[in-house]
Amino acid sequence: MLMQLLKRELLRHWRCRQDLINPLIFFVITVSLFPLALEPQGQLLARIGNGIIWVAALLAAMLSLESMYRDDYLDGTLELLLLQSGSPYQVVFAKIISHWLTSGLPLVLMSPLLAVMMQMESESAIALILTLLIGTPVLSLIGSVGMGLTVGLRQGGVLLSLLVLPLYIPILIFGAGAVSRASMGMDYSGQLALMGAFLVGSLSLVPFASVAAIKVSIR
Amino acid sequence: MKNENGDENNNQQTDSQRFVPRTILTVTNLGIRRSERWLFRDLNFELKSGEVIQVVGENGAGKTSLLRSLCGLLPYARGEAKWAEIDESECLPLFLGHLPAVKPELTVFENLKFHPIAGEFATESQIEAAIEEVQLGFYLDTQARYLSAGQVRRVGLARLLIAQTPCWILDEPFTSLDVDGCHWLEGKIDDFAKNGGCVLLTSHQSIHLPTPPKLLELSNAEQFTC
Repeated sequence: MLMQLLKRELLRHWRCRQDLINPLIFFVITVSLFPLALEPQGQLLARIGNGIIWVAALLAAMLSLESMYRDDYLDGTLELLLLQSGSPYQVVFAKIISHWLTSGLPLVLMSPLLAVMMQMESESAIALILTLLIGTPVLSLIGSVGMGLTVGLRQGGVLLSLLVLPLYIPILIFGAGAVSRASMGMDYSGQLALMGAFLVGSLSLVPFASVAAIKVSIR
Repeated sequence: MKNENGDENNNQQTDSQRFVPRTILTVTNLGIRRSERWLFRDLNFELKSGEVIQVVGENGAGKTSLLRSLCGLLPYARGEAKWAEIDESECLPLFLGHLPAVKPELTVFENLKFHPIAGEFATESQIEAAIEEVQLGFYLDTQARYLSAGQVRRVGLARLLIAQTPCWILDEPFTSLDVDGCHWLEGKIDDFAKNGGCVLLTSHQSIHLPTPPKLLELSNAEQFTC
């Protein structure tokens, strides 16, 4: 059941590839503009690179949230899926997994390139990839609740960022913090463990919150 | 369309059930309120297998709200709507809302394949037969965005042919169908009811069935405020 729903989501995303590329291009362009705008000093870039890449990843994730439930809501598919699939949690899970696969994972894969552009050391580049790998699923999960709440609103974009961004901030702090510790040659396993805890926590609670949010929205 | 090939939707009813009318849905004292306005209250009716009930009423009388709340999409303010238990689990009706729920970027075939209907996915041969029957065989691998509104509606209605459920809930199913399509759908509804299924639908046009559908009138003459 979950596999079928997931297949459907991925097929849909594949058919609208340009929507997928949008957040990724945003991510790459935002990060690559900084070396042009700042003084071309290697140390400066390496010092602020972690923060820039993390902020860009956060905003790119927000950009792609809109595609999560909006289309399905507008053409009535969301109601049908919730009613007919037996378990609405599977629908939500399929949505979240496909959202991460199509928006989070490309960011992770692109990040080594951007780390090089930011002249980061290999130690901090590895930390960046690890934190993004743990952090981006959390962004998709939390975003699913926010999107579920705002899917019924015509102008939900501003509200969505107000709802979701505060919840993203801990991830941003620990993600960027871990990378900067790595760049100083310190141990960052504590930050990683906390991010892992966020992931497990949201993984177990978000499906309930998302389903409840969507049910409110489609009334 | 092919009225005589109507076997696909009958197989969910065994012969023993076919002639025993049973209550599928019991509605007692149901009331729905939208913000401060009661759409209706104290609505009582029963839906038995083999029955077709047409909900009629003016625009805004609460027809769609009634159907949606019976499916569980909309909470009701008072009363109770109880689905009968079938095979030890609550009966899951097939609900087709007034939006077609067809994804434009998927092909006609994929639209039916990847949509769970009553908790199950249909087999490929079932889907192909259903698409043939709604006369979209030629468009099997065409993305739904290239279809006309009526054809999209037909893709949605093809779900009726592959659903394994004793009850259909249809909200304005005749919208944008051509004359042939309307006749075909009436035939389908009649076949389904004859084989023990029950149908609850809203429509503003009169439906021509051998046994005329029961009318359930929602009047918004009395609007209570509280």
